[in-house]
Amino acid sequence: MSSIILQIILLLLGFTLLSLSMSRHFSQVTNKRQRLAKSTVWLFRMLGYGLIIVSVLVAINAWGVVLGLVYCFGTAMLVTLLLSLILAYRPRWLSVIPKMMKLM
Amino acid sequence: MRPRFRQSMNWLHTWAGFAVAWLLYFIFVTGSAGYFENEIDRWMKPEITVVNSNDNPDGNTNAYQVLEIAEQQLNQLASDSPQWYIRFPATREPFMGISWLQLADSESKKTKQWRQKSINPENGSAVAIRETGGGHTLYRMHYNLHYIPKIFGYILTSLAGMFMLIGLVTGVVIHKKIFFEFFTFRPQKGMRAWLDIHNVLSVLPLPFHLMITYSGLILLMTVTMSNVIDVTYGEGKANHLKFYKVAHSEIKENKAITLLPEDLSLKTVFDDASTRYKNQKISFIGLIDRGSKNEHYDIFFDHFTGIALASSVEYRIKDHQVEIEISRGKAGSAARVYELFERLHEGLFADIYLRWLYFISGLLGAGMIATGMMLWILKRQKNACKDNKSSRFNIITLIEKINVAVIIGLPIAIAGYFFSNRLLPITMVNRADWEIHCFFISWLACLCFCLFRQSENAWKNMLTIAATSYALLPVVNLITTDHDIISSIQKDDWIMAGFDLSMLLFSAIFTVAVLLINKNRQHKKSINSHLVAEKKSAITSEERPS
Repeated sequence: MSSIILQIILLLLGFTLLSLSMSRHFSQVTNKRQRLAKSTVWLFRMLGYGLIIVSVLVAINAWGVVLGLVYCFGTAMLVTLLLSLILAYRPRWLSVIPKMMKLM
Repeated sequence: MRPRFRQSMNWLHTWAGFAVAWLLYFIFVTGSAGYFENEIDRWMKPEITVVNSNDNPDGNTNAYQVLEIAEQQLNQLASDSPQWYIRFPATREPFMGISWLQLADSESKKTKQWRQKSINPENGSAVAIRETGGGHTLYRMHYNLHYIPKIFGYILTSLAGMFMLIGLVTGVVIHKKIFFEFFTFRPQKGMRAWLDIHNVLSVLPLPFHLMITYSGLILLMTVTMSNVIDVTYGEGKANHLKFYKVAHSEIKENKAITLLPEDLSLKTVFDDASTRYKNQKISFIGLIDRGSKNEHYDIFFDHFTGIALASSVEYRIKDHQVEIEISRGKAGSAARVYELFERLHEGLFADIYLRWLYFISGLLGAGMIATGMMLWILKRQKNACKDNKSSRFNIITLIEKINVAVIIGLPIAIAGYFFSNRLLPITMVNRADWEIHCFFISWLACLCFCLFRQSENAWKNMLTIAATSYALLPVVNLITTDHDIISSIQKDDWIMAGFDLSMLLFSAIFTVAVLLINKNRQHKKSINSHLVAEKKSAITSEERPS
């Protein structure tokens, strides 16, 4: 159960960062058109891919290679679907991340 | 070269999809329902009493009682049957029961079939279960297509699977911005929105789509590629059986145990197995080939290691000694690959979370096919509007109407199947067959309804019917049986409650769809009236100076 929740959190964060590394979705979230700086794009991408890789490793560790991959692909499907719906209908929900970026 | 390549792939994607879209949609929806085969089965057999494992901490004494009752009942009901099975409560099927193979008997007009009864552990009575197709028939429909001979069903589904694979590969080729538009869905953009949602439904569960299509084809390969077997083993059933024996041979380990042959009985076998495998729960005991030389006991466990079912154990008498036989998996590596795909396809190992993910992925696949059909219609309507060809428009309208009847009619037909389970008289002859007839009758009724409605109204009406029928299912369950959602939850009967709640969830989804259509239409109307008003004012302002 806790492994499943960890999977969902890791993949949700990872894919959110990946989606925000695209100017189109970043603009949707902040509600103003802007081009992202190259460094930000790279930061988001590296963190995003990193989290996804970590989640795969966690899954394989928890369930073994075959079952772990099944869990990972399944959860990724759920999370990306959720994310594309949020981006389409409630993009402001994700504005936490740009705000946190500013604080840093 | 490249643009032409993409164009031809686009053509292939469109027409490969169009050719089998209705069939594929049927396969995906009924197949997805199949992931909840056991749960649907339980709902369709309301006579079953659920056993809660936390009710009886002293598991074994209770199991002995069940065994005793089961054996007594089987002796009474199935003394001449060659195969007995006794079911113990398992995770997905938390109840007890007996089943046996009834032999054909011309005198009493019995046909050869599997019979089953549920056992109520509280008073030890065997309860008759209504005759029903259950979840099993619903799930089997996704590859045998029910009314046609099995072999044609297999070939047609395989063919649809091949087209699906073509559709998936060409789809990836023609989707230029597969990564850039990974999360993109722009709901307000007309045709673009349909393309977006089609892409979202295809790309996000793409690993599932590829796996399920490919493994589906693998599962039926002995049918579609039977010629390969013919070449080496010869034609005909008997020769093919030789192939199966060789291909699926298993590594087996035989061991003599201390149990005396004359002591061998259901009880001692159960005892031995439960002490030998302490951390595994027994889900089935079978007594196979009763009365013959080959009589043996089969034990099945309710446990998966990875994606493989914990292997079964056989007890038999050999050379005046009791011997156990443990299977250690398939011998050939080809068989092991086949088995991997089979397990991934069926998802029997899945816990409740993965099961829902499988189910959702399957429905997303159905959604992908449905949006593909919509896009086909929209593109052609647009072109027809441009060319003003009214004759082509008619055929497209007809196809659009059939689309509605398929896309929304199928869920309604499934609801019809569930209704028939509760509403047909219990004593009806061929009741299980009539349930399936009800399924197809409701679908046919949907088709007739859609053909006589304008397609715009048909969408709304059909969605309303679907929402209403799914909302009514728990109500009918409440009226015809003593299972309502609240008492099911109180009795910890989560499968019954979960089924009813899921039906309400589906009803809610259909209701949202109806509301969205209404909103959209009002939006369109206000835009239209706005345009008309603008035009009028433009005309009047033009008229004034003259």
